[in-house]
Amino acid sequence: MLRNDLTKFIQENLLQKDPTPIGPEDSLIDSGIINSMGLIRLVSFIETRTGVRIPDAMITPDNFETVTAIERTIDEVRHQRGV
Amino acid sequence: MNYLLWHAPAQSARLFPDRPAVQDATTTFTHRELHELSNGVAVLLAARGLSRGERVGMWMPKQARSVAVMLGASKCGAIYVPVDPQAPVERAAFILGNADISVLVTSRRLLASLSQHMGTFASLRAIVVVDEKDGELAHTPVPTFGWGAIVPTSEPPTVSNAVDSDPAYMLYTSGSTGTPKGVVISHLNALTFIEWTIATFRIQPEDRLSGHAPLHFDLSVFDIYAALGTGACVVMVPDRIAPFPAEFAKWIEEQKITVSYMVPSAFIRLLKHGELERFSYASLRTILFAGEVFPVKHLKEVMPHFPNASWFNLYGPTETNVCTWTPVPKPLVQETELSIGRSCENFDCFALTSDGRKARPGEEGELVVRGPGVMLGYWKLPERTAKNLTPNPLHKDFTDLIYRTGDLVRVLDDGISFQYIARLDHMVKTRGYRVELEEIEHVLHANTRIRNAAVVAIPDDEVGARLRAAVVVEGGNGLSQQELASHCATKLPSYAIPELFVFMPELPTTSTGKVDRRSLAESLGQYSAVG
Repeated sequence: MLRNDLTKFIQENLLQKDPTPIGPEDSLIDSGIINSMGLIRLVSFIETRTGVRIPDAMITPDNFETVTAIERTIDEVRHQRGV
Repeated sequence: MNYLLWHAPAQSARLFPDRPAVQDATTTFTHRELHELSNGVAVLLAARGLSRGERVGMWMPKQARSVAVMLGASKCGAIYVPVDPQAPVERAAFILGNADISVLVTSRRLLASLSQHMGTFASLRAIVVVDEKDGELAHTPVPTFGWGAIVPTSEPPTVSNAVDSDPAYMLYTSGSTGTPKGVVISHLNALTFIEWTIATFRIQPEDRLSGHAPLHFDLSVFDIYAALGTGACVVMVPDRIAPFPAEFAKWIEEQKITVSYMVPSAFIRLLKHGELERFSYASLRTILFAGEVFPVKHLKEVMPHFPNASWFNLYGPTETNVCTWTPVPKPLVQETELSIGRSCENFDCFALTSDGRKARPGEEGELVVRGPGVMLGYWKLPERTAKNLTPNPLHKDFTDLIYRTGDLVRVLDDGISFQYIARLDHMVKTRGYRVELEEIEHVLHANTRIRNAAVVAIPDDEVGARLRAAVVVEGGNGLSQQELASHCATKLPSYAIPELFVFMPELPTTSTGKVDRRSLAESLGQYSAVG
């Protein structure tokens, strides 16, 4: 399931062995989990995992605020493309 | 007289008291407010016994208050040490311990993450928590204060006998021995660079400089002090916006930024993902870049998006800040890479051939730098300092030190400009950050399950270099990409973590038995780029 994969990826790649689990509504930006490098890795993971290319204009703080927001963004892109 | 870092900002507080000095996502301080606030920081720290030459560690998110802390520490005659707020806690703790800090300025979250390491800071006497409102807090081993304990005042404490050759700040950079090393910069070193930029780029009170680089990266020295020294404003790019190119592109326009200084990979990211065609960037008049080569093909593409801007290529290691420069021709038509230009004023850069003479036009040599901009040395590393700061072989009759950059350059036909060719060691630049490949290898070797490892840099025209590791696992298998990345993440900043780990039964060697880095680079370069 995408949500679990996203959470697992973020937990393992973007958190520096921080044991705190991230919930679907936790802000990834205010906590500094998503920085420039983290965002590049995350977008690359999403594109590889889902085959969906996220348009640059949709890579915004609001769309990447939480795991739920990221899921919604991917759905939106899929929907726009009729995938 | 303006001979200490905080003098010109204090002068701006008198000349331009009500103009904005520093702005972050939520706060703006005028020059007077910043002066008085930093006096308050200095008064608090001096009351805790902070004295000349002691270190103030700053492990905190970048914000307007950071600037008050830097100036406040300086006003006590102390040395401030900015540490990457995104650094892994082990790395941050190493730096703070190595610097032997007397005061730590941090945030609630970062302070909590340091709890296991507090015992290693033997000289620590006070902690300031910037995002804590209350004045005095009670829950740590040393007196701890919230921001509420800082009371703005019009007078800074007095420090006797401070001179411009006193250290002002330390910036830690990647070290080839496996731990970061502190570059000690004096007031005079910093001012030599800052005064040159103010004069050369004609920074005015009306200017709005973007604060893009983090505080532990010396590009921020320009953003902050060129603004504060002239009555201008440094506008810090909010952490919420900086990672997102499309947002950041909009922010530059909305904030009417007039002067911007970033690494080329940040501009290339804006070009590729920022949808720049949406904006006119009428206000942006001066663009500076440094830290790595800006491939001309990308530079040609990005320049037309900023029609009113003059562009400048700056060059220099942390040890000298910027020491050479060149304006970028407009329009840019050449196919060859830009030169790094000629010496900045009050810097003397020349190339030394391998037989120790000054290189002539057309010849190659190691670029060396002399003058008041050259660092005092590496913190507590006398041998390393002596290796890089050496007597000038051209002036044998008096004491004259030169800094050896480790960069191989060619002297151009004009006799005063240089073309960068390559590094003489294993240091690489990725996304503008300098990384010693040996430091990453040390970290990998520290994992007992790894028998051997080598890290190579694959040249890349968007990010400078992509780091990839070849790893030989004890017993042949049992480690995943993920485990290796996590292992590195406990010790290295995120830009220094290899994007790919390739498992090998043995590392290839040359006929002399050394790791064959060329063949490794070839085989690891065949994988496609990550991100």
